[in-house]
Formats: sequence, C-alpha cells, structure tokens
Amino acid sequence: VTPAAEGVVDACCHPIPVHAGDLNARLPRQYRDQRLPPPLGGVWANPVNDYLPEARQAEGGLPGSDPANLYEQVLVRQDADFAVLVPLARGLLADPQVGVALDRATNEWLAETWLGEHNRQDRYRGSIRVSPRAPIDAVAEIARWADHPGFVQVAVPLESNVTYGDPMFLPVWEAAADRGLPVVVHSDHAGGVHGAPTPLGYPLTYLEAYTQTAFAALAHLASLIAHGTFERLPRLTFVFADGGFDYLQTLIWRVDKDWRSGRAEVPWVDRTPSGYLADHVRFVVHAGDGEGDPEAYAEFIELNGLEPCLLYASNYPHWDHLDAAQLRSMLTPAQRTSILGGNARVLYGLPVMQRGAT
Amino acid sequence: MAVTLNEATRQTEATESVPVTLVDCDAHPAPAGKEELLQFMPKRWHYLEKAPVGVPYRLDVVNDGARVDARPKDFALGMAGADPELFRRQLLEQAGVDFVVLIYHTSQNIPAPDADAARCSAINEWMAAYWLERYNDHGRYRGSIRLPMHNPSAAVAELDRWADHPAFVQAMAVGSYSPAFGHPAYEPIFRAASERGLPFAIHPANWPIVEPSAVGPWTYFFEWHSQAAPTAYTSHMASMVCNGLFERLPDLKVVFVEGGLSWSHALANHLDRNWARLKAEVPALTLAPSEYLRRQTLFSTQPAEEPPNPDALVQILDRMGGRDRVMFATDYPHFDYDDPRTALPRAMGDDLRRQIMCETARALYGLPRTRAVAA
Repeated sequence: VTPAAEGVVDACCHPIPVHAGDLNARLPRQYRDQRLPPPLGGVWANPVNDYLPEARQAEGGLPGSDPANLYEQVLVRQDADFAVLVPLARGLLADPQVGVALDRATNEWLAETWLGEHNRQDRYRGSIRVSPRAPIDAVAEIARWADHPGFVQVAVPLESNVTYGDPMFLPVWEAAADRGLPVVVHSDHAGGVHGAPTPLGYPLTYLEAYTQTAFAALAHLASLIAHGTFERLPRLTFVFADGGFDYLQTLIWRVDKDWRSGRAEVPWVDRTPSGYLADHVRFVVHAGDGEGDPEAYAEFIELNGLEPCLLYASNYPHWDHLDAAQLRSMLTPAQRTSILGGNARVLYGLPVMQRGAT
Repeated sequence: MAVTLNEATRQTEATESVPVTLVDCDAHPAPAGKEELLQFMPKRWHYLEKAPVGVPYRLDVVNDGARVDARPKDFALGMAGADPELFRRQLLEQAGVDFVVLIYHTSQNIPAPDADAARCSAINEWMAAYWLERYNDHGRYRGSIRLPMHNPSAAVAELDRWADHPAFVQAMAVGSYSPAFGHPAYEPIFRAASERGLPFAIHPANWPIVEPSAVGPWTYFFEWHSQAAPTAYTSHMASMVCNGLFERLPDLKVVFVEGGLSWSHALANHLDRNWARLKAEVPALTLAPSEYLRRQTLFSTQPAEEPPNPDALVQILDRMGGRDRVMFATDYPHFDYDDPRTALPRAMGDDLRRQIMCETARALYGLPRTRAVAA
C-alpha cells in the first residue's frame, strides 16, 4: 500500500455559519424573522463543553466557522486529504416549510462558502440538506444540487416521528440513489417538535441523552430493511453518523434472529438483515464507540466483518472529537487503510491525492 | 422468606432427591378465564379487563404468540399457560426444569396508577393462591411480586405484603413505564426491594402499551419484537446508573428479562467513555458505570443474540464480566420458547453452561442444591 492510498478522509465534520442569524438573511422574506433554535440547543446543556476549546473563534464567531481554523485543525492536524462537510439543521421545526427554507438556505450557503470560496484546494465535499417529511421539496432540492461537483451526499436528521423505512420517504431515497448519492443521517441535537430522544422519554442527564442518541439509528436501519428499501433501491447507501456501531451490531444480531422467525410478514426481505450492511450501510466511528482495549477494539471489528462499513470522522468542532491518530492506534494495518480513508474514498468517489504535491 | 420453602424441600431429601441443574427464570402462567383473576380485584375496576387486547401485527395473530402445543383444551379462555397440568408436564417433565420463576403472562401496565395497583395486587394474590400454593405441591414454582411503578406507595405496600411469603423470590415490573427507572420517584420501590433482599426483574410489556422506538412506531412484528425490549432496557439501565441508584443501593440486583444481553456491553463501554468526560454532571458516581452494571445487573437468556460466529457472544460475556450474570429462561409458553437442550451455543463450554443453566439463578433466588423427586 502506497502512503498516498492511506491518506485520511474525514467523513463527517460540521462547518457552522459565523453567526447564528446568518442563515436567516438567506431565508425567503416571510421567514426572515423566524426564531431558529440555536445549534446544539435543546433540553440539555453539555455540562462540560459543546465545542472543542481550540475551535472557538477569537472574533466572536461560532466555533467551526473560521475557514483557516477548520483547515488547520481538520485537514492539517488529522493529515486528511478530504473532509466531508455535514452542516447540521435545527431539529424538526414545527412548520416543515420553514425547515425546507432552512435546507435551501444552508445548501446555498455551503455552496458559496465552503464548497466555493473556501475550497480552492478542492478538499471539501458537502452534503445536500433535505427534510424527508417534505418529500416533494426534498426531491427538488436533491435535483437542484446533484450535479454540483462538491455535493457528494444527501443529509437528513436522525430525529423523526416516523422511521425512515416508511413508504412516504421512498421518493427521497430514490432521488438520492438515482444520483448515486449516499444518505447521511446525523442528529441535529436541537429542539423542535421531535420530542424525547429515548424510548422512555426525557432522561435526567446529558450523559444519558448523549449516550443514547446514536442508538436511535437502529430503529431507522431496521425499518429501512423491513420495508425492503434496499431491495427496491439497490444503489442506496445509508451512512449513520452519530456513532454506536458496536451497539448497533449487537442488536442487529437480535433483528436477524427475529427476522428468521418473522420473515413470513416481510417476504420481500431476501437477506438476513445484517446481510445488508456491507452493501448498503456505513457507520461513522465516534469517540465513544467500541472496546476500550485497543486489541479488543480491532478484534470486534474483525470478528463481525465491520471493516468495510466503518468511516473515520473527526466530528469537528464538537466536543466529542475523534483524533485520527487515536483511531489509527486502535486498528490493524488493513483496518487503517479502509476505515481511515479507503472506505470513504470509494463511497464518495474521492481521488487519491498525490501527497506532498501541494 | 424462601428459606422456609427450601427447608421444606430439604426435609424430603431424606427420602429421595436429585441435584438441581436447571432453573427457568421466565415462564408465564395465565388465569383460567378472566374470573379467576377478577375475584381478587375490587368490582369498580372489573370493566378495565373488558378491553380486548390485540397486537397490531399480522404475525402475532397466529395462536396469540404462543406455542401451538401449549394451548389448553379444557378452558373457556383457552389461553396458553392456563392449564396447570399441561404447564407442569411440558416444563417440569418434558423440559426437565427443576425450578421455575413465574412471571404473570399479561404484560401491559394500566396508565391509571390506582387501577394499575389494584391489578398488580390481584395478580399477586392470584399467583400466590393458585401457582405458589394450589399447583405448587412439588414446591418447584417461585413467584414474582408484580409492582405498579407509577404508584410507589402501593408498590411498597405490595412488597411488604408478600416479602415474607416463602415462594415469592423477586419483585417485578414491566419495562414500559416512563420515565426510565433511575428517576427519583421510583427510588422508594427499589429501596424497599433491596432492603427485603428481593432482586428486581424487568420484563418487556405487551400491547397496547409497549416500549416505543425513539423515532416512530414499529411497522412490523419483527422490528418491535427485536428492538423494543433492548432499547427500552438501555434507557432504564443508563438511567439507573447515571442517576446514582446503584450507588445508593449497592445491594440491589436488577434482572433484565427477555431483552438479550450483548448490547449492554456496548452500552457500558459508551457510558464509561462518556462518563470519563462528563463526570462533572454526575458527581454522585464513585465508580465507572460498567462497574455498577457488573456488580448489580443480570440478564435472562431467552432470547439471547445469535451472532453468526457464536464465539462473538462468549467473548462479549467475558469482556462484560458476564459469566455469572446470565440466567437461563424458556419464556414458556410463548412461540419463541427456548428448549434447554438446544438454547445455548456449544461454544459456551460446560462450566459456563452450568453457570447459566442453574448456578447463577440458584444463588440469586436462594434455591436449594437438591430437590425431592416427585412422588
């Protein structure tokens, strides 16, 4: 393996507008005075820090808003060739039309700034934000940006009042699959009308809420499989970007087990549910994932065949940042190649950079 | 407590006895017709039992989710688990179970706390009168004290009422109560169970009040049946740990029934890592979350996860310190009944198998090493 092929790809980092109100100026006139929930707002305050201390901006801009900082702290410090940018939305806004307007504003902002003026080296890739509960608008937004060379996937919130296998969402996933765009699911960690983040309501601590956020991806994943989504859309890939691959893996065994006795109900599901993972599902690795012991960490991935499914991400500028060097130290040489960059390169069609050429 | 009954069992050892090798931690007797339960309930609540209960999935309609051969022929109700003779024959004789921990079959809670308390109370009286006394001449049934979690004073009273009964060996509630069980409103109940030396079992709920997903309803039976219990148990477990319940009640044992187990190791890893950075929020914790879980939580096997490589399950058991935290269960008479002869993967080996099939439950529930052979 040449050093070039081992270049890191950061599959999920979060650029943020300089000021919380910046996107309002891009909204249609009737929504400009809309009060948007702040980024990382919601029920709990992180008792320690929402953002990496070094991501804070001297001039009062939001963390993650300064191009020079993000370049230095993501691309340079992680020695990454590319960073895939996933701007977060603000949770499920009460009026879905405001959510649609915010999606459009976010995509225009991302195209002008991070995929435009900040992207002279062509090392950023972006995500098209859509609202799946407004499927017609979501399909139109995908069509609007799909040919833009900087957008490589479609981004939707983890938060939903309906699991993502529901047929109402199928046109959105179809539009993404037809364009060869993966769909990334990431929590907005924001307020809005979604309600509690756990099956049993609002937890009492941030520690519980934060720990369980990623686990909600399981219900979306099982729903997508149960409804036959991947059978209908063989080119579709879902990327679950909140972490938790270890938790999801153990519960997919259970989904497999119940599918064996319950498959009469879903005759269109042709494979064991876990059999869809390698072809259709990717998990972004988070700092809280996996075994604490490095040997056990790599072994779990190996034993469960997860190597093709995992993508490294910095999660910059959030507090739960994962350092590429830290992940590298937990992986076998083969896993390093695929998980730190190879898998993302294939998924997003990224070229191999001649390192040191710039 | 259980000592009395065990002493009674031991006295018969003089005649003829066999070693105890198989304990079933989750089997479900049912009343033979509604009247059998209603006789223990105040009349004002009888109308609640009229509500027909159904599962909104096509699949579960088949035989009400029960083993086809477990449905009795002699009762008007016809509910699986209601025929004591069939129950005894299939579980004690055919499956060869030495002791059975019984959990009442119907699993949803009633939203009104006073009605829920009346129903739990009736369930306990019924279980004591029928399954722990009338049908228990062999002394091989043990019971679970069902508790109304949204009615803490009634729940504690119910614990007081039954704690000295020799055959009730644990407290029990369904898992569908919200908020999760680390909320301080529940603490008097857990404290009372802990002080009386009773383990606390959580069993999944059944329709119409079930554990939901965090992102919308389950569409298919297998989605619900595979995810509802483990994801709700995840919330309960995180809640009990993070809010200091295990710190304040170090002797409390909580048994997570019918929800699998390997996910709990992933949860413990996440909690440990996140706690390391968020300690400031939960100053009451003096141990890492995984240490409380290791010390105070147990699991029943049915339905254990079945990874394609069975070694993966054994490895997780070892890493989570789980060899003495897992107890065999059949879930008789339900359709996904686990046969003790085939339930565990061969990869487990004899020592671990013995631990799971018998020893952990025997110690937790204070069961004897031998039992009398049926006359």
